[in-house]
Amino acid sequence: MEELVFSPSDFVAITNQTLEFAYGGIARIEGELAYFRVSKNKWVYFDIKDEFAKVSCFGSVYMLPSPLEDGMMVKITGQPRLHPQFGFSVTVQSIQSSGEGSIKKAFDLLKTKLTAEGLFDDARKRRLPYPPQRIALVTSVESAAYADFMKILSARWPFVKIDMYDVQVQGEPAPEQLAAAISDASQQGNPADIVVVTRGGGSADDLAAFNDERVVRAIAASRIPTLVAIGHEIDESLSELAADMRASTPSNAAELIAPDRLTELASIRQSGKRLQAAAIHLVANEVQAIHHQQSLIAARLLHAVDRAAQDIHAIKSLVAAYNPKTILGRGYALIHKNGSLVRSATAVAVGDILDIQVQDGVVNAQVTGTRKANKEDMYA
Amino acid sequence: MPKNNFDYKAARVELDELLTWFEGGDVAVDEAIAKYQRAEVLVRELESYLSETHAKIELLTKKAQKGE
Repeated sequence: MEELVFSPSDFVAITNQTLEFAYGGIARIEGELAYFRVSKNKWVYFDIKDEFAKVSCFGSVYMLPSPLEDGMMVKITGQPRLHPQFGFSVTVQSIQSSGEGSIKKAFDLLKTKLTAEGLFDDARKRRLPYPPQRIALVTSVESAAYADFMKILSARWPFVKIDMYDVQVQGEPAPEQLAAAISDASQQGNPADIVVVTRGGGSADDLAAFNDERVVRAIAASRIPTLVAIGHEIDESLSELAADMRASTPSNAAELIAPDRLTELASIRQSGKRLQAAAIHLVANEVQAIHHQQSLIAARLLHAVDRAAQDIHAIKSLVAAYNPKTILGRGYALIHKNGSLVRSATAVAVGDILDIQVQDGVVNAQVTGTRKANKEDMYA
Repeated sequence: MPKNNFDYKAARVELDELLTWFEGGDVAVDEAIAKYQRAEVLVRELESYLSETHAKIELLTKKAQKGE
């Protein structure tokens, strides 16, 4: 049998074929991160090791779920490959923190980083339109979270249109799918009023996607207000911190975004009653005010009438003073000759018959003589 | 009692004119009697009119207060 001798190129090619065959293209390795470094903000290099071995790895920064540090436990998925120039490495497709301590560490690092960038600032929080007319719902249609959310929402406010984004909410493809769905929903030409991202509770591993940097950034970058509801009550996920609003469960999300139509109806009816009562009160007040004004007008009118009556009463006394009979009462007399008033001594002659009117009757007299008045006559 | 179409203002002006005439001093006695009688009629009519107006206002106020 002839001895097989390869050229370096052939050896590399054959080895890569063998590796492809051996691992089905993809290998999963879990171990401790070492020599982690980022080059040109684009490439990452690190080793994954245990007590006895280490494996070189290479990848793009875009697949990083969060900041990583040496010493953290990670689980990687990638393609083992012998590079013609640089030797053996695993080209990493995805990397996840693993083990409680590392997950917590990754969470803390990412939280610190995004907090510093202001992604969780209260000032960024937007008010959700209430109630929304259209919702972009990002979840798995097969999940209990979807069923719970839809059940509560249709019972409370069945008027909302749903744009469904069916994604995996856990596992390896989850972060990318979630981030893409959130971005799509927000960048639509005619986007929904809000985007709701939800899933039920689960283990820290199950919920890891919601602490993935890509998902958190997609939520923070959303052009429409966001609500994140993850069915757990303990530590908040970073997605929830980045969202404009958070809900404790999918059902709670449905309760928060829309009112209950029956409660709303009762409230409208109550408002109607209050409005009616207010209108009645207003009219009663107005009637009272008009009555008050009417009383004031009447009082002023009465005052004017009474003053006029007093004036007339005063004039009455004045008129009485001009009564010719009153003057006769004082001893004056009116002298008529042939029915005409005698105003001068020269108007009568001796022998004329005169009628002298006094207060209580008429005296008939005959002229026996006349003369002109002198001073004594005036003051007699 | 004054007539329905009693003109208060005209009656009041006429009464004022009569008083002015009396106050003028140059009073013809026979004319004074007629004017005095007219003044007396005007005073009665004005008094009656004002008294009726007073009663009418009071009645309307009472009705308004009862909400009629």
